Amino acid sequence: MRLHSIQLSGIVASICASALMVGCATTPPENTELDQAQAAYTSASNDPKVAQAAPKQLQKASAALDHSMALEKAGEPQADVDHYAYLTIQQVAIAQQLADADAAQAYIKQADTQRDHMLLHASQQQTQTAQLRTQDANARAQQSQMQAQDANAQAQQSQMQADSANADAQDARMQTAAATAQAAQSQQQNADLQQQLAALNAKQTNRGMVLTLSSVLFATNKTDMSSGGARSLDKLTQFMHDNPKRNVMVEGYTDSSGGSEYNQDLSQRRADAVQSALITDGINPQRIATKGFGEGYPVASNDTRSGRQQNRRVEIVISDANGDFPQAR
Amino acid sequence: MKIKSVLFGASVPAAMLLTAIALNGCTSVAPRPDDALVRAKTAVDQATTAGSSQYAPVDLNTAGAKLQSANEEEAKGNYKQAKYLAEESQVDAELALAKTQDAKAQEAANQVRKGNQALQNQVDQTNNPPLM
Repeated sequence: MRLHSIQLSGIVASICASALMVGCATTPPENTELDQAQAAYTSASNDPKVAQAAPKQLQKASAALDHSMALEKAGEPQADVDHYAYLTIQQVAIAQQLADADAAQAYIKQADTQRDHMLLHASQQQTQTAQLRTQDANARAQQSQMQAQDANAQAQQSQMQADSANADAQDARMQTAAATAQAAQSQQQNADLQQQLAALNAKQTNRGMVLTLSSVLFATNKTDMSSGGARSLDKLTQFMHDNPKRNVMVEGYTDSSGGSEYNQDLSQRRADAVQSALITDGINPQRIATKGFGEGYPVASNDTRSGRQQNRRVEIVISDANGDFPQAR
Repeated sequence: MKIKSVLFGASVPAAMLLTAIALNGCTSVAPRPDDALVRAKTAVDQATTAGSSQYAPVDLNTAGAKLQSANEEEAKGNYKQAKYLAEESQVDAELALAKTQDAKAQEAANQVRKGNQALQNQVDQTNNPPLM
Protein backbone atom coordinates (compact mmCIF):
# COMPACT_ATOMS: atom_id res chain seq x y z
CA MET A 1 0.00 0.00 0.00
CA ARG A 2 1.28 3.38 -0.87
CA LEU A 3 0.75 6.24 1.57
CA HIS A 4 0.61 9.81 0.31
CA SER A 5 3.25 12.07 1.84
CA ILE A 6 0.59 14.41 3.16
CA GLN A 7 -1.20 11.67 5.00
CA LEU A 8 2.17 10.42 6.12
CA SER A 9 3.01 13.88 7.44
CA GLY A 10 -0.11 13.83 9.52
CA ILE A 11 0.78 10.43 10.97
CA VAL A 12 4.35 11.57 11.50
CA ALA A 13 3.10 14.64 13.28
CA SER A 14 1.02 12.68 15.70
CA ILE A 15 3.73 10.05 16.24
CA CYS A 16 6.18 12.80 16.60
CA ALA A 17 4.06 14.17 19.37
CA SER A 18 4.36 10.95 21.35
CA ALA A 19 7.83 9.85 20.31
CA LEU A 20 9.67 13.10 20.65
CA MET A 21 8.70 14.95 23.79
CA VAL A 22 11.02 17.92 23.55
CA GLY A 23 9.88 20.94 21.61
CA CYS A 24 7.11 19.17 19.84
CA ALA A 25 3.59 20.55 19.67
CA THR A 26 0.48 19.68 17.68
CA THR A 27 -0.63 23.28 17.33
CA PRO A 28 1.94 26.04 17.12
CA PRO A 29 1.46 28.40 20.15
CA GLU A 30 1.61 32.12 19.80
CA ASN A 31 5.03 33.72 19.75
CA THR A 32 6.99 30.68 18.90
CA GLU A 33 10.72 30.72 18.90
CA LEU A 34 10.63 31.30 15.18
CA ASP A 35 8.43 34.37 15.70
CA GLN A 36 10.92 35.68 18.18
CA ALA A 37 13.78 34.97 15.82
CA GLN A 38 12.05 36.80 13.01
CA ALA A 39 11.34 39.81 15.17
CA ALA A 40 14.89 39.92 16.45
CA TYR A 41 16.37 39.68 13.01
CA THR A 42 14.11 42.37 11.56
CA SER A 43 14.94 44.74 14.35
CA ALA A 44 18.67 44.21 14.05
CA SER A 45 18.85 44.40 10.28
CA ASN A 46 16.89 47.66 10.39
CA ASP A 47 19.34 49.14 12.88
CA PRO A 48 21.95 50.96 10.78
CA LYS A 49 24.54 50.67 13.51
CA VAL A 50 24.26 46.88 13.58
CA ALA A 51 23.98 46.58 9.81
CA GLN A 52 27.15 48.63 9.45
CA ALA A 53 29.15 47.12 12.31
CA ALA A 54 28.38 43.40 11.84
CA PRO A 55 27.12 42.62 8.34
CA LYS A 56 28.65 39.14 8.19
CA GLN A 57 27.22 38.25 11.56
CA LEU A 58 23.79 39.39 10.41
CA GLN A 59 24.20 37.15 7.37
CA LYS A 60 24.76 34.16 9.65
CA ALA A 61 21.58 35.08 11.52
CA SER A 62 19.72 35.43 8.27
CA ALA A 63 20.86 32.01 7.08
CA ALA A 64 19.73 30.39 10.32
CA LEU A 65 16.39 32.15 10.07
CA ASP A 66 15.86 31.01 6.50
CA HIS A 67 16.68 27.47 7.52
CA SER A 68 14.21 27.60 10.35
CA MET A 69 11.46 29.03 8.15
CA ALA A 70 12.08 26.43 5.49
CA LEU A 71 11.82 23.63 8.02
CA GLU A 72 8.62 25.04 9.34
CA LYS A 73 7.16 25.44 5.89
CA ALA A 74 8.12 21.85 5.13
CA GLY A 75 6.35 20.70 8.26
CA GLU A 76 9.52 19.49 9.86
CA PRO A 77 9.58 18.71 13.57
CA GLN A 78 9.24 21.67 15.88
CA ALA A 79 12.48 20.74 17.56
CA ASP A 80 14.35 21.31 14.32
CA VAL A 81 12.50 24.56 13.59
CA ASP A 82 13.17 25.74 17.13
CA HIS A 83 16.80 24.78 16.99
CA TYR A 84 17.49 27.02 14.00
CA ALA A 85 15.29 29.76 15.45
CA TYR A 86 17.41 29.63 18.61
CA LEU A 87 20.58 29.90 16.55
CA THR A 88 19.07 32.91 14.77
CA ILE A 89 18.31 34.68 18.04
CA GLN A 90 21.82 34.06 19.37
CA GLN A 91 23.45 35.22 16.13
CA VAL A 92 21.41 38.43 16.22
CA ALA A 93 22.48 39.00 19.83
CA ILE A 94 26.12 38.53 18.82
CA ALA A 95 25.68 41.08 16.04
CA GLN A 96 24.32 43.60 18.53
CA GLN A 97 27.25 43.02 20.89
CA LEU A 98 29.66 43.58 18.03
CA ALA A 99 27.92 46.82 17.11
CA ASP A 100 28.08 47.95 20.70
CA ALA A 101 31.78 47.21 20.98
CA ASP A 102 32.32 48.97 17.68
CA ALA A 103 30.66 52.12 19.02
CA ALA A 104 32.93 52.03 22.07
CA GLN A 105 36.02 51.75 19.84
CA ALA A 106 34.81 54.66 17.74
CA TYR A 107 34.31 56.72 20.87
CA ILE A 108 37.80 55.95 22.11
CA LYS A 109 39.24 57.02 18.78
CA GLN A 110 37.48 60.38 18.73
CA ALA A 111 38.20 60.86 22.43
CA ASP A 112 41.90 60.48 21.72
CA THR A 113 41.61 63.20 19.09
CA GLN A 114 39.65 65.34 21.53
CA ARG A 115 42.33 64.78 24.15
CA ASP A 116 45.05 65.83 21.72
CA HIS A 117 43.11 69.00 20.94
CA MET A 118 42.69 69.76 24.62
CA LEU A 119 46.37 69.22 25.29
CA LEU A 120 47.33 71.41 22.36
CA HIS A 121 44.94 74.10 23.48
CA ALA A 122 46.16 73.79 27.04
CA SER A 123 49.77 73.97 25.97
CA GLN A 124 49.01 77.05 23.90
CA GLN A 125 47.40 78.58 26.94
CA GLN A 126 50.35 77.55 29.00
CA THR A 127 52.71 79.11 26.50
CA GLN A 128 50.81 82.36 26.73
CA THR A 129 50.73 82.23 30.49
CA ALA A 130 54.37 81.27 30.57
CA GLN A 131 55.20 84.21 28.34
CA LEU A 132 53.37 86.57 30.65
CA ARG A 133 55.08 85.00 33.62
CA THR A 134 58.44 85.30 31.91
CA GLN A 135 57.83 88.98 31.29
CA ASP A 136 56.82 89.44 34.86
CA ALA A 137 59.81 87.47 36.09
CA ASN A 138 62.10 89.50 33.85
CA ALA A 139 60.82 92.76 35.28
CA ARG A 140 61.28 91.45 38.79
CA ALA A 141 64.72 90.19 37.94
CA GLN A 142 65.70 93.62 36.70
CA GLN A 143 64.43 95.15 39.89
CA SER A 144 66.28 92.61 41.95
CA GLN A 145 69.40 93.28 39.98
CA MET A 146 69.20 96.97 40.71
CA GLN A 147 68.65 96.21 44.35
CA ALA A 148 71.60 93.89 44.26
CA GLN A 149 73.73 96.60 42.72
CA ASP A 150 72.70 98.98 45.46
CA ALA A 151 73.47 96.39 48.05
CA ASN A 152 76.80 95.76 46.37
CA ALA A 153 77.71 99.43 46.45
CA GLN A 154 76.78 99.56 50.09
CA ALA A 155 78.77 96.50 50.78
CA GLN A 156 81.75 97.98 49.02
CA GLN A 157 81.45 101.10 51.07
CA SER A 158 81.17 99.08 54.22
CA GLN A 159 84.15 97.07 53.09
CA MET A 160 86.15 100.26 52.60
CA GLN A 161 85.12 101.44 55.99
CA ALA A 162 86.07 98.13 57.43
CA ASP A 163 89.38 98.23 55.64
CA SER A 164 90.01 101.73 56.89
CA ALA A 165 89.11 100.71 60.41
CA ASN A 166 91.33 97.71 59.98
CA ALA A 167 94.20 99.88 58.84
CA ASP A 168 93.63 102.14 61.81
CA ALA A 169 93.61 99.19 64.09
CA GLN A 170 96.78 97.97 62.53
CA ASP A 171 98.39 101.35 62.99
CA ALA A 172 97.27 101.41 66.56
CA ARG A 173 98.65 97.96 67.07
CA MET A 174 101.93 98.91 65.50
CA GLN A 175 102.09 102.00 67.59
CA THR A 176 101.33 99.99 70.66
CA ALA A 177 103.94 97.50 69.66
CA ALA A 178 106.43 100.28 69.03
CA ALA A 179 105.53 101.87 72.32
CA THR A 180 105.80 98.56 74.05
CA ALA A 181 109.09 97.92 72.36
CA GLN A 182 110.23 101.35 73.33
CA ALA A 183 109.06 100.81 76.86
CA ALA A 184 110.78 97.49 76.93
CA GLN A 185 113.86 99.06 75.49
CA SER A 186 113.69 101.84 78.00
CA GLN A 187 113.11 99.33 80.69
CA GLN A 188 116.03 97.34 79.45
CA GLN A 189 118.10 100.43 79.18
CA ASN A 190 116.96 101.38 82.58
CA ALA A 191 117.85 97.99 83.85
CA ASP A 192 121.16 98.20 82.10
CA LEU A 193 121.68 101.63 83.50
CA GLN A 194 120.73 100.50 86.95
CA GLN A 195 123.11 97.67 86.58
CA GLN A 196 125.80 99.95 85.40
CA LEU A 197 125.12 102.50 88.08
CA ALA A 198 125.09 99.75 90.61
CA ALA A 199 128.37 98.55 89.23
CA LEU A 200 129.65 102.09 89.60
CA ASN A 201 128.77 101.98 93.24
CA ALA A 202 127.00 105.25 92.68
CA LYS A 203 124.45 106.31 95.20
CA GLN A 204 121.17 107.92 94.53
CA THR A 205 121.03 111.35 96.10
CA ASN A 206 118.83 114.37 95.71
CA ARG A 207 121.35 115.69 93.19
CA GLY A 208 121.17 112.49 91.14
CA MET A 209 123.46 109.50 91.05
CA VAL A 210 126.70 110.24 92.80
CA LEU A 211 129.89 108.29 92.61
CA THR A 212 132.17 108.99 95.47
CA LEU A 213 135.91 108.61 95.12
CA SER A 214 137.59 108.27 98.44
CA SER A 215 140.61 110.31 99.49
CA VAL A 216 142.72 107.21 99.74
CA LEU A 217 142.81 107.44 96.05
CA PHE A 218 144.57 110.75 96.46
CA ALA A 219 147.60 111.20 98.45
CA THR A 220 147.24 113.92 101.06
CA ASN A 221 147.89 117.26 99.55
CA LYS A 222 148.48 115.58 96.31
CA THR A 223 146.30 116.00 93.35
CA ASP A 224 147.38 113.08 91.24
CA MET A 225 145.28 110.04 91.35
CA SER A 226 146.76 106.80 92.37
CA SER A 227 146.56 103.85 90.19
CA GLY A 228 143.80 102.52 92.39
CA GLY A 229 141.87 105.69 91.76
CA ALA A 230 142.39 105.33 88.06
CA ARG A 231 140.96 101.86 88.18
CA SER A 232 137.84 103.17 89.93
CA LEU A 233 137.36 105.53 87.12
CA ASP A 234 137.46 102.71 84.55
CA LYS A 235 133.91 101.75 85.28
CA LEU A 236 132.81 105.36 85.05
CA THR A 237 134.62 105.70 81.77
CA GLN A 238 132.88 102.62 80.48
CA PHE A 239 129.57 104.01 81.65
CA MET A 240 130.14 107.27 79.89
CA HIS A 241 131.17 105.50 76.71
CA ASP A 242 127.96 103.42 76.89
CA ASN A 243 125.77 106.41 77.68
CA PRO A 244 127.03 109.18 75.47
CA LYS A 245 124.28 111.52 76.50
CA ARG A 246 125.28 111.41 80.11
CA ASN A 247 127.57 114.12 81.49
CA VAL A 248 129.36 114.31 84.85
CA MET A 249 129.93 117.04 87.38
CA VAL A 250 133.14 116.35 89.30
CA GLU A 251 133.06 117.94 92.74
CA GLY A 252 136.10 118.15 94.97
CA TYR A 253 135.92 118.26 98.80
CA THR A 254 138.47 118.54 101.60
CA ASP A 255 138.48 118.17 105.35
CA SER A 256 138.68 121.21 107.58
CA SER A 257 142.40 121.02 108.32
CA GLY A 258 144.27 123.81 106.71
CA GLY A 259 142.93 127.11 105.50
CA SER A 260 139.70 127.44 103.59
CA GLU A 261 141.33 129.15 100.60
CA TYR A 262 143.90 126.43 100.47
CA ASN A 263 141.25 123.79 100.80
CA GLN A 264 139.18 125.45 98.05
CA ASP A 265 142.14 125.35 95.71
CA LEU A 266 142.99 121.81 96.69
CA SER A 267 139.45 120.59 96.12
CA GLN A 268 139.37 122.22 92.69
CA ARG A 269 142.67 120.70 91.69
CA ARG A 270 141.46 117.24 92.81
CA ALA A 271 138.34 117.64 90.68
CA ASP A 272 140.52 118.67 87.75
CA ALA A 273 142.70 115.64 88.26
CA VAL A 274 139.68 113.39 87.88
CA GLN A 275 138.68 115.33 84.79
CA SER A 276 142.16 114.79 83.29
CA ALA A 277 141.97 111.10 83.98
CA LEU A 278 138.62 110.86 82.23
CA ILE A 279 139.86 112.88 79.24
CA THR A 280 142.87 110.61 79.03
CA ASP A 281 140.40 107.71 78.76
CA GLY A 282 138.81 109.34 75.78
CA ILE A 283 135.86 111.12 77.29
CA ASN A 284 134.96 114.41 75.61
CA PRO A 285 136.03 117.30 77.93
CA GLN A 286 132.75 119.05 77.25
CA ARG A 287 131.01 116.29 79.07
CA ILE A 288 133.00 116.85 82.28
CA ALA A 289 132.39 119.84 84.54
CA THR A 290 134.51 120.46 87.65
CA LYS A 291 133.87 122.34 90.83
CA GLY A 292 135.68 122.65 94.12
CA PHE A 293 133.76 123.01 97.32
CA GLY A 294 136.69 123.20 99.73
CA GLU A 295 135.68 122.33 103.33
CA GLY A 296 132.03 122.67 102.47
CA TYR A 297 129.42 119.94 102.62
CA PRO A 298 131.25 117.65 105.01
CA VAL A 299 129.84 114.17 105.21
CA ALA A 300 131.37 113.38 108.56
CA SER A 301 132.71 115.11 111.63
CA ASN A 302 136.10 116.78 111.14
CA ASP A 303 136.93 116.15 114.81
CA THR A 304 137.92 112.60 114.21
CA ARG A 305 140.59 111.20 111.99
CA SER A 306 138.17 108.87 110.22
CA GLY A 307 135.70 111.73 109.84
CA ARG A 308 138.33 113.90 108.22
CA GLN A 309 139.29 111.04 105.98
CA GLN A 310 135.73 110.71 104.84
CA ASN A 311 135.46 114.38 104.10
CA ARG A 312 138.45 114.23 101.85
CA ARG A 313 136.71 113.07 98.69
CA VAL A 314 135.63 113.69 95.12
CA GLU A 315 132.00 113.31 94.28
CA ILE A 316 131.08 112.67 90.67
CA VAL A 317 127.50 113.57 89.97
CA ILE A 318 126.04 111.84 86.97
CA SER A 319 123.66 113.91 84.93
CA ASP A 320 120.14 113.00 83.99
CA ALA A 321 119.46 111.32 80.66
CA ASN A 322 119.63 114.65 78.88
CA GLY A 323 122.96 115.53 80.31
CA ASP A 324 121.63 118.12 82.73
CA PHE A 325 122.13 118.69 86.45
CA PRO A 326 118.82 120.10 87.68
CA GLN A 327 119.74 119.78 91.37
CA ALA A 328 123.34 120.91 91.21
CA ARG A 329 124.90 122.52 94.23
CA MET B 1 14.41 7.40 -4.18
CA LYS B 2 12.85 4.10 -3.32
CA ILE B 3 14.07 2.03 -0.39
CA LYS B 4 12.90 -1.19 0.91
CA SER B 5 11.12 -0.46 4.10
CA VAL B 6 11.32 -2.81 7.04
CA LEU B 7 7.88 -1.85 8.28
CA PHE B 8 5.73 -2.14 5.20
CA GLY B 9 7.71 -4.76 3.25
CA ALA B 10 7.38 -2.68 0.06
CA SER B 11 9.36 0.07 -1.66
CA VAL B 12 8.58 3.37 -0.06
CA PRO B 13 9.67 6.87 -0.95
CA ALA B 14 12.54 8.50 0.93
CA ALA B 15 10.08 10.66 2.79
CA MET B 16 8.66 7.57 4.44
CA LEU B 17 12.13 6.43 5.37
CA LEU B 18 12.75 9.76 6.94
CA THR B 19 9.55 9.30 8.81
CA ALA B 20 10.82 5.92 10.02
CA ILE B 21 13.90 7.64 11.11
CA ALA B 22 11.80 10.21 12.86
CA LEU B 23 9.85 7.41 14.54
CA ASN B 24 13.10 5.91 15.78
CA GLY B 25 14.26 9.24 17.26
CA CYS B 26 16.25 10.47 14.20
CA THR B 27 19.52 8.74 14.94
CA SER B 28 20.54 6.15 12.47
CA VAL B 29 21.38 8.30 9.37
CA ALA B 30 22.94 11.46 10.81
CA PRO B 31 26.75 11.39 10.69
CA ARG B 32 28.97 11.75 13.74
CA PRO B 33 29.04 15.49 14.47
CA ASP B 34 32.80 15.63 14.97
CA ASP B 35 33.22 19.03 13.33
CA ALA B 36 30.39 20.54 15.32
CA LEU B 37 31.83 19.20 18.57
CA VAL B 38 35.30 20.56 17.75
CA ARG B 39 33.92 23.96 16.84
CA ALA B 40 31.90 24.03 20.02
CA LYS B 41 34.84 23.12 22.19
CA THR B 42 37.02 25.77 20.50
CA ALA B 43 34.36 28.41 21.07
CA VAL B 44 33.93 27.51 24.73
CA ASP B 45 37.69 27.55 25.33
CA GLN B 46 38.05 30.90 23.60
CA ALA B 47 35.23 32.42 25.61
CA THR B 48 36.74 31.09 28.85
CA THR B 49 40.17 32.46 28.08
CA ALA B 50 38.75 35.89 27.32
CA GLY B 51 37.26 36.03 30.82
CA SER B 52 33.65 35.30 30.01
CA SER B 53 33.14 33.71 33.43
CA GLN B 54 33.36 37.29 34.74
CA TYR B 55 31.51 39.20 32.04
CA ALA B 56 28.96 36.63 30.70
CA PRO B 57 28.73 33.80 33.22
CA VAL B 58 25.25 32.57 32.31
CA ASP B 59 26.01 32.24 28.61
CA LEU B 60 29.32 30.56 29.32
CA ASN B 61 27.80 28.08 31.77
CA THR B 62 25.03 27.23 29.33
CA ALA B 63 27.56 26.70 26.55
CA GLY B 64 29.58 24.41 28.78
CA ALA B 65 26.56 22.37 29.85
CA LYS B 66 25.36 21.95 26.29
CA LEU B 67 28.80 20.85 25.16
CA GLN B 68 28.84 18.23 27.87
CA SER B 69 25.39 17.01 26.84
CA ALA B 70 26.50 16.95 23.22
CA ASN B 71 29.39 14.68 24.09
CA GLU B 72 27.09 12.43 26.08
CA GLU B 73 24.59 12.17 23.23
CA GLU B 74 27.34 11.47 20.80
CA ALA B 75 28.64 8.67 22.99
CA LYS B 76 25.13 7.23 23.07
CA GLY B 77 24.96 7.44 19.32
CA ASN B 78 22.35 10.22 19.25
CA TYR B 79 24.19 12.08 16.56
CA LYS B 80 21.54 14.52 15.51
CA GLN B 81 20.86 15.51 19.08
CA ALA B 82 24.59 15.77 19.66
CA LYS B 83 24.97 18.03 16.60
CA TYR B 84 22.18 20.36 17.69
CA LEU B 85 23.59 20.61 21.19
CA ALA B 86 27.07 21.25 19.81
CA GLU B 87 25.80 24.00 17.50
CA GLU B 88 23.92 25.68 20.32
CA SER B 89 26.91 25.35 22.62
CA GLN B 90 29.05 27.04 20.00
CA VAL B 91 26.70 29.96 19.45
CA ASP B 92 26.24 30.41 23.20
CA ALA B 93 30.00 30.50 23.70
CA GLU B 94 30.37 32.97 20.83
CA LEU B 95 27.76 35.19 22.42
CA ALA B 96 29.55 34.95 25.76
CA LEU B 97 32.77 35.99 24.01
CA ALA B 98 31.07 38.91 22.21
CA LYS B 99 29.56 40.13 25.48
CA THR B 100 32.97 39.93 27.17
CA GLN B 101 34.73 41.86 24.44
CA ASP B 102 31.99 44.44 24.40
CA ALA B 103 32.20 44.87 28.18
CA LYS B 104 35.95 45.44 27.98
CA ALA B 105 35.52 47.95 25.18
CA GLN B 106 32.97 49.81 27.30
CA GLU B 107 35.34 49.85 30.25
CA ALA B 108 38.10 51.25 28.08
CA ALA B 109 35.78 53.90 26.70
CA ASN B 110 34.79 54.87 30.24
CA GLN B 111 38.41 55.25 31.24
CA VAL B 112 39.05 57.51 28.31
CA ARG B 113 35.92 59.51 29.07
CA LYS B 114 37.02 59.98 32.69
CA GLY B 115 40.52 60.91 31.59
CA ASN B 116 39.28 63.55 29.22
CA GLN B 117 36.95 64.93 31.84
CA ALA B 118 39.78 65.23 34.32
CA LEU B 119 41.92 66.91 31.70
CA GLN B 120 39.15 69.35 30.90
CA ASN B 121 38.75 70.14 34.59
CA GLN B 122 42.44 70.79 34.91
CA VAL B 123 42.44 73.08 31.89
CA ASP B 124 39.43 74.95 33.25
CA GLN B 125 41.11 75.40 36.60
CA THR B 126 44.27 76.68 35.04
CA ASN B 127 42.39 79.21 32.97
CA ASN B 128 40.04 80.23 35.71
CA PRO B 129 41.78 79.67 39.01
CA PRO B 130 39.43 79.53 41.96
CA LEU B 131 39.12 82.72 43.98
CA MET B 132 41.26 82.61 47.09
